[in-house]
Amino acid sequence: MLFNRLLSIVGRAQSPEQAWADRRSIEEAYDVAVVGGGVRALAVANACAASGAKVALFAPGEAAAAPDERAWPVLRAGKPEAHRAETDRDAVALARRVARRASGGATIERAGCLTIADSRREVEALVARAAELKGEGVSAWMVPTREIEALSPPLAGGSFPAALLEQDAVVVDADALALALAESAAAAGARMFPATPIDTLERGASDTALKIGELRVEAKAIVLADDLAAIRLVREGRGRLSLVRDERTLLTTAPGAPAIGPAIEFGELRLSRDRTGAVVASGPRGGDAIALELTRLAPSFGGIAVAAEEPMIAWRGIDGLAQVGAADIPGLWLALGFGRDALALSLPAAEHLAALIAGRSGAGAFEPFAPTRRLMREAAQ
Amino acid sequence: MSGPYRIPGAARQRFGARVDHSEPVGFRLDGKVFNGFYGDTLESALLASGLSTFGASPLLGRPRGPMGLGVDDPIAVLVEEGGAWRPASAGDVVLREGLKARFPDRAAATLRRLAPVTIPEDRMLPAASRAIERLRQALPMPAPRLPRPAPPPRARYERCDALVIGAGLAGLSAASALLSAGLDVRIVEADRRAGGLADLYDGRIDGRPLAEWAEAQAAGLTARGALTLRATAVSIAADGAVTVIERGGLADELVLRVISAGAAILATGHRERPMAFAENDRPGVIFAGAARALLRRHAVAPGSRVLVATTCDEGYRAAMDLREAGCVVDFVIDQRDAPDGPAVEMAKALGAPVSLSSVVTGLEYDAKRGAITGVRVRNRYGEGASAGARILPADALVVAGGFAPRDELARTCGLGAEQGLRLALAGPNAVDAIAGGWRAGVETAAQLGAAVDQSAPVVEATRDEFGEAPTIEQASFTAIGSNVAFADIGADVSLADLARAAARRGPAPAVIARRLGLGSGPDGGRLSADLPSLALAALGVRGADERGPSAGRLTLAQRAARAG
Repeated sequence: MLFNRLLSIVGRAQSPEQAWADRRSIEEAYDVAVVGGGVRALAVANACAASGAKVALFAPGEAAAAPDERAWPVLRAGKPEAHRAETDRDAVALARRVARRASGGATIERAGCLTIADSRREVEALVARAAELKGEGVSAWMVPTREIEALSPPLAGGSFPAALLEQDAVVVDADALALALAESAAAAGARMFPATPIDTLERGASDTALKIGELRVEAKAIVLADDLAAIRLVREGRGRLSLVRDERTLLTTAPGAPAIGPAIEFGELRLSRDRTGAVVASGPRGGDAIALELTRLAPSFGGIAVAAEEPMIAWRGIDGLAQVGAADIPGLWLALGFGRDALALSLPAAEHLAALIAGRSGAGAFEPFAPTRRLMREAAQ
Repeated sequence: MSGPYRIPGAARQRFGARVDHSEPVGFRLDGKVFNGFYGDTLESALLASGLSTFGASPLLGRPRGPMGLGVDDPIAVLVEEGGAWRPASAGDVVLREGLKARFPDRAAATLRRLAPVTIPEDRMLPAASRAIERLRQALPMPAPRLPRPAPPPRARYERCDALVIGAGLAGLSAASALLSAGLDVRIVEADRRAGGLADLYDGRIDGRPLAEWAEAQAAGLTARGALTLRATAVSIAADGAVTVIERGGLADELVLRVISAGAAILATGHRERPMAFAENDRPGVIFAGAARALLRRHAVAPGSRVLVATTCDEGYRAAMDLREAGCVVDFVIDQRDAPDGPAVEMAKALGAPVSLSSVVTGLEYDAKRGAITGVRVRNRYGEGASAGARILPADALVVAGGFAPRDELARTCGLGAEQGLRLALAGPNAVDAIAGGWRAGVETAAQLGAAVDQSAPVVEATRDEFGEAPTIEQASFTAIGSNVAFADIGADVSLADLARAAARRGPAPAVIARRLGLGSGPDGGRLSADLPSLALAALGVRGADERGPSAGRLTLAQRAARAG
């Protein structure tokens, strides 16, 4: 109790910088304008501000972790998408660095991730994936039924044939990470304007600008880091983004649910557990279908109350890959279509973008995610 | 004497309508023997025995007592049923001879009390359970076998023309309009009886007292098999299907019903709103309506020396009832500057002393005895002779912070009149309830292609002044005691927590609610009504009213039963 009190006094002494700016203080020109309010957008604002640019972030709604980032707050889990092993390798270190600087602290737990096979055929697929991951330097291996139960007690009695365990996957507190990024960005001089939706994107002969009501904000670089806002802005400008929607639902149980050990993937279902002990589950076909799958996976969960349900959309590119880099419009940069593993890609993608915007060379691992990849392929042919 | 008690014989004429004073009932709580009367609930019998603390809050482990009416303020108890203990709410358990009850396992609450969370934004699992989990992960220990709950029976799917949610005056009025149009009507009520608060107000409908009219209507509906009691509507789907949890049978088993109606009317009434002052969660603080219900139904008074804090006329009605029951009411502390509703006039005629433009700022609480000893009061504007805070002696405080509609079902589903969902929540009085219910019934009938050929019931009742919402000044967020001035009582979220979260997170009501766990208490946020969103609005965080309390929570197994 005394320790807690001491902690709270220390916490108060280094009170966080006021991260949020008033709409009335929007200026006419910035080096970088970020559109979006999730971890993705805040990470970009933070990375750009850290490299010395004058940054403004305009969030269409709240500046906090987006539903798809909270639905699967896991870094370095096995990726169904290609080209992610290398980008994800940096994610954990980057997250730890942000969390260390955060005034309130952000829990990062090395919990691991279990991908559970429901049938023999899935086991074969997982074995193949385990070999692939091992080749990419990820410590992943198959575990038998008995070990699944030991790792995750609520799964006892489910008798699933086998599962893929990724030892080094970490579960992050996404909301705390978002706040830590915002505070870090504010300390580096970035200005953040929550609940400030952009009306239109203006493309002049030599510059790009954002219109917010009557205001016109010029920026040398505009980063679109919110899928829905980007689609609206680009469609209105008759452009194309080639994103497809993946509609899912996010269920949160009451706090104090039994420990599930590692984060869990089971078919379309994804589970993690937060610091209050609430299980966060996401899947397709609505909340009732998720509950049905969840009680099939862990029958002892049946008595836990559902505290919240919210819809979420995970956007991804039509070829399944995210779009990170320069758009084919000068001055416009994209960080879109991150898919279901949005949080894992956020921090490395932000570093990559900030480097490109500052005129440095980005990470080679992001080449497959360049928004102009289709054009470049066509040019090569 | 201090604390709650059963009012003695002489004053019983008007009070205790539901209890039979000649029929004592003995029961056991935590092994100790208590006595009550036939017709008592576990809650009223325990209060009558002088017990005012009923448990501890989940996060901070603060002692808590009953504050609101049963539907909004569940008090967790375990009741023995054929050798097994089943969870129930003390206000919902009817006494019977030989009843055995106990408060749920308090180990977790004790843990919280020993190591309280100083910043609720960091609400986490207790440190001990986190350590055990980590140890279990590190060591190759056998997995603990978790109990597997019995799967609930499959959900029952039903159809009808019109569904009315809530069988208070508004709901009964709406149902009788729909019935007279010849429609197939169902009406569900969460409580054990229909009529809502009709028995707490004076007035007449079609020449009969409110409660008598309600009883007759309910009897008519029951005879047609249209009325289901103890059935709580918990959600409305996007297609308009209403999910209802029905409790019934000897073992109180749950049945999940999904009712697809051509149209639905939400007649869930209004809930009382608490006031935000330091220590506003202490046992002995009780809402005006709940205090009146305990008096009129069970002849239980909240204390012998009571103060009333109010922003509306309901406080005066409580003061009148309390005086008539023999309690000392030193003051009615009214936030308003110049109230002039009918109830105020009546209270003045009765001689209740009134302190206008005054607000309660805190309580004096004796933790050892677990009782209020005094109430701190000051002038709202901080001027004049009464500017300084006074401490008035009292052993109970009745608060009337106004009413907020129970509209969460409509708010969360996003349907409106065009999709066949209407609200009958016109106002917290008999006149508006009957008129609003009837209007919703007539409109619904018209939408379903039927006509109502009768005229609306004739109501003679007083209509209160609407009153004010309790003011939350900027200073109250930082004042001494703001860390124990609770905005969400059930979830232990104080004004100071809200102010801190709003400063850190900016104008972001959703993430503030998520981090602080607003509405995550055992009451689902219902006890505190719209107080958290009022407080956030005072901090400049708009849009919090879209969230509000939850109508009820289904378990994963129940959700699964609905899917299958």
